[in-house]
Amino acid sequence: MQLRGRFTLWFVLAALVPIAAAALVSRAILTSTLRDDAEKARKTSEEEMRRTLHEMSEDLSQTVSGLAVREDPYVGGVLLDLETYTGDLPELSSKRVQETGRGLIRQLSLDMLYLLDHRFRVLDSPHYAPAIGEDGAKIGKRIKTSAETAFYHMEEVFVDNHISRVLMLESGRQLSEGDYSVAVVGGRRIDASVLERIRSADNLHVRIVLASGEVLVPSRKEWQDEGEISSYALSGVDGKLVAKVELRVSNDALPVLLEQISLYSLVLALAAIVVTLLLGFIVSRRITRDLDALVEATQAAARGDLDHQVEIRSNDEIGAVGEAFNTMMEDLEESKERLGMAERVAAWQEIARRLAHEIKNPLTPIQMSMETLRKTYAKKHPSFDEIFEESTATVLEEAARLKRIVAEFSEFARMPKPSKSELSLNELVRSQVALYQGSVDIEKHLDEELPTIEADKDTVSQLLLNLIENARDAIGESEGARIVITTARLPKSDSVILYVDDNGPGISADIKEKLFTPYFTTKHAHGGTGLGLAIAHRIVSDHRGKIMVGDSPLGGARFSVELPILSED
Amino acid sequence: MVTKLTLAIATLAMMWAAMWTASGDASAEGRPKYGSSITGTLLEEPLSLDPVSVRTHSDLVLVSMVFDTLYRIKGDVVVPHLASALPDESDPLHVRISLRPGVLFSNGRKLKADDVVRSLERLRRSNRYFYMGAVVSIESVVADTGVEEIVFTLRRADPRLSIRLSDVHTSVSAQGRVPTWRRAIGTGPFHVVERSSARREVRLKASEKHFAGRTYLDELKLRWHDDKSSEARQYESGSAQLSSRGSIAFAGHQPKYRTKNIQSRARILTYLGFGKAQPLDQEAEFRAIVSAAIGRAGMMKMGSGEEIVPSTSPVPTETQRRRVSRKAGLTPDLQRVTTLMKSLIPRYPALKLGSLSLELIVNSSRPDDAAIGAKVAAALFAFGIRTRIVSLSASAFARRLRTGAYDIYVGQLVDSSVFASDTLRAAFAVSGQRVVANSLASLKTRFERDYPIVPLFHRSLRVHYRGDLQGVRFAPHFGAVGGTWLGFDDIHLIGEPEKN
Repeated sequence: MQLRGRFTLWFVLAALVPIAAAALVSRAILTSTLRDDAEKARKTSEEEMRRTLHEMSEDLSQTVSGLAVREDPYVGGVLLDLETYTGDLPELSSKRVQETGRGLIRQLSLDMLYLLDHRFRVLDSPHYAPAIGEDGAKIGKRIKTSAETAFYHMEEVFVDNHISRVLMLESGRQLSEGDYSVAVVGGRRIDASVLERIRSADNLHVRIVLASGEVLVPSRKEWQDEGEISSYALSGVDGKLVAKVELRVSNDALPVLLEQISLYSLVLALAAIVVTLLLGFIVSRRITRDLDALVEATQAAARGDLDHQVEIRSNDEIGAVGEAFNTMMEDLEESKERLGMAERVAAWQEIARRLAHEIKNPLTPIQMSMETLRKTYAKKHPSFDEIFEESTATVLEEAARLKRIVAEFSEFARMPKPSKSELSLNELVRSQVALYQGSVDIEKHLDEELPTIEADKDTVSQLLLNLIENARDAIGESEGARIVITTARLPKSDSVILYVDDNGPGISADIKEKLFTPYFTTKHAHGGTGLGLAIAHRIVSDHRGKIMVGDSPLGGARFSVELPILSED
Repeated sequence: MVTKLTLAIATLAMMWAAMWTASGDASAEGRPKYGSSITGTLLEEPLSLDPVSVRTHSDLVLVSMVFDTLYRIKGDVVVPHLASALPDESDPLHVRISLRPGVLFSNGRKLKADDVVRSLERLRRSNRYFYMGAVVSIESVVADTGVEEIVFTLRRADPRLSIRLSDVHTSVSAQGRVPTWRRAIGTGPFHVVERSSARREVRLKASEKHFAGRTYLDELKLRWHDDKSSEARQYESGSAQLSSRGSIAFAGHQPKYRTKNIQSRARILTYLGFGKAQPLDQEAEFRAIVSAAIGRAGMMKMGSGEEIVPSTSPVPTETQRRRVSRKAGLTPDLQRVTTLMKSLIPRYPALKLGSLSLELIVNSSRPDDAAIGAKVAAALFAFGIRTRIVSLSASAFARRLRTGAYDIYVGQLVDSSVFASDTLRAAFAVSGQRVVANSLASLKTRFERDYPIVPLFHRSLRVHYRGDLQGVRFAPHFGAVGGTWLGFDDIHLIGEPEKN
């Protein structure tokens, strides 16, 4: 990954990590806090529930006690009438009792009111008219058993023109006089309105469940049997469970809050990503811009363009690097120039040495031949004519050789800059190979989709010629000798490659090292000057290509030449 | 000086006398005047004037005011009314009854024997056919004397034909047509002037040319109420001169005028009828369950002080020959209910699951019926049967009864028949059944097997009236001819209007 990308990525991570950490910490703190609050709320509400129900019981008991006195017109009045009419209330008395009862039940905010005579016949039941006149022995028994303590009981009432059973808190008293007694039972309904007094918070769930398991008053929200549940038993007159109030504090809000935190964190993270990407891109671009310039300059330097200066805009370390680079480039160019000069001097010295060596070689036989001639002429040698003929032939031969050496050297030294144009390497190969038709069998494996190159036709032709000659020299005239020329496009590259393979003896490694050195030759005996491959190397270099020598799959040597494809720019 | 004093005293005395004479008794000013209007009450809203089909107390009272029968029962005796004489039973299978001449309908047309024949034929074709007992055919003839006669051909001798022909269901309407409120043409002492649902009142006016003589009263206004106390309140305040639901609205009050009261025997049956809302309603076992589940003792204190006699039979307890136990049906019969439910549960699992829900309809113009319905609902609730009570106006109630779209209703049956067998047949007729059985025993057995209706109790009618009321004579009849029947006066108790 590029520096810019890594830089931006680290920038983004630097922003995301704190956000993620903050989200996790928040969730943990919130969970713990809410759970603690829930537990406190549960305990408080449990206490509130007990207190509320206790207060209701006390209040009801007092209310009913207040009725069961002789002075009360309702209860006391009935007792008096029973005494007066010896146990059988006349119609007017019954009417009066029932009228009074209707008002009393409203006035005392009761939901249930029974009035029974000494035979437990129901004299009045304003909350449930069908009970009037019926046998109330069960009601009477409850009053006796309750011993003036409030209790819970399921009672029938009329709701919307049909009978329902509701949970009542009841309290009863009996007033007696002689043979007669009157019992009064008052009750208040335990329903959702009672639970409203206990429901102090939205997360507090309260419901009433009957002993049978049936839910009498459901909680406002869906009840879940998890977490701590407080339960308060509502017992009947015999102590048996009639119903219970269940209370739990839900953490329903917690998942919602956690989800909100997660959502906000996610939104924040996304926003952070966008912002940091933008910032990272801007900042990294500013930073890497100079680095890119440095990289480009370095690449240019690698290509040999030592004049390339880096334009540095920042005043920081990168700027310092850029300046140092520029300085280095200047120094390098100077060094290069000096080196180049030194190399040129060395090269010329080498060439001069080699040239001197090459020249000296023919000069020696020339000198010797002339000395021989002078000696034999001076001595009037009898074989002077033969010697003269031989010596002059030698001098001429060596002179021709010298001439050839000078000509090649001139050619090597005079090699002009290539005049590049669009060139089809395949066509060039075909045309050059055609020159050898009839003399050397050269195989061609040409990539027909080979792109064109930008090259000097003449020099590349010479290059190809040199390589073919070299291969011909290697294979000699043995049977089965082969030369194969291949062209192809290098994969993932902007270059084409030319292979010249032969199945000659090959080239050893030590020779390969010196092969492209001017005047290095293995063909002294054949009159080789050692400049052919040097010229080939020079030509390839001028075209900014590469020439290499290696082992051929055919068994001999392979010369590989890479040349750049014609650029579309 | 003495002369002046005497004169002054005399003047003062005369002035005082004049004042006293002029004012008269203060209470007399409020007394209903001779010949004017009386406001009374009905037990419920009247819906029909058809003598053949009426069954509620209000309908029967009005029919008896507007129409006449051939005979009437006065005291212990059957006396001719539209007939001119007792039946000629010289041929027991062809009984001849002479028609009283000169009787006019309220529209001035003369009563003819044909009117009687058509009226009675219509009765014979109805589900109250049994009132005509052994009658095979009825025809009108003109005797040699020119008197119109009605000849009854019987399949067997019926010495009680005249008693049957005194029943209000045998009342004669013009040409035997079904009377309507707008066109109720009868020969009775009153005719209908108006029936107003808005004012909850029927106005009757005295028929000027009634053959038995015009009544004292010019007009009779009979009202019905949706709640008990409003009827008593009207009486208490003096707006009404009669009340069948108490003389005071609230305990501690006093009626404005001196009050008397009179009570009939308990013959008005309150019962539960069954519809067709669900198949279970048509099961005799289910109806038996309902009867056994109800403790009727708790109903004895209902009403406004009238006598209430719990009963499991449509025949009033006191009229039955054999003294039946007055304890029957007083308390729920848990064992019987359990046994009957076990037999029904396989076909009706809702009974076991406690998911059975019934609709009980009541007539809102009978204020006590809602309380009765509540008691029935409470009794059924004890066995896991939920009942919803729906209070309907009288007309809506009647419509629902016709469609059968309900489970149970609280009904009233006033059977004016003097024969227990006819009472039982009337109970079957209420449920739309026509029974063939003839003997009383077989009718009773069939009733206790099929339960076409579930009797709850018989109630009396207790009328409170102003002590100085004129124009209406209450003459409850407590006598018994042969110990088996009672006169309709017992039930209807508006009494016989006094004649001029």
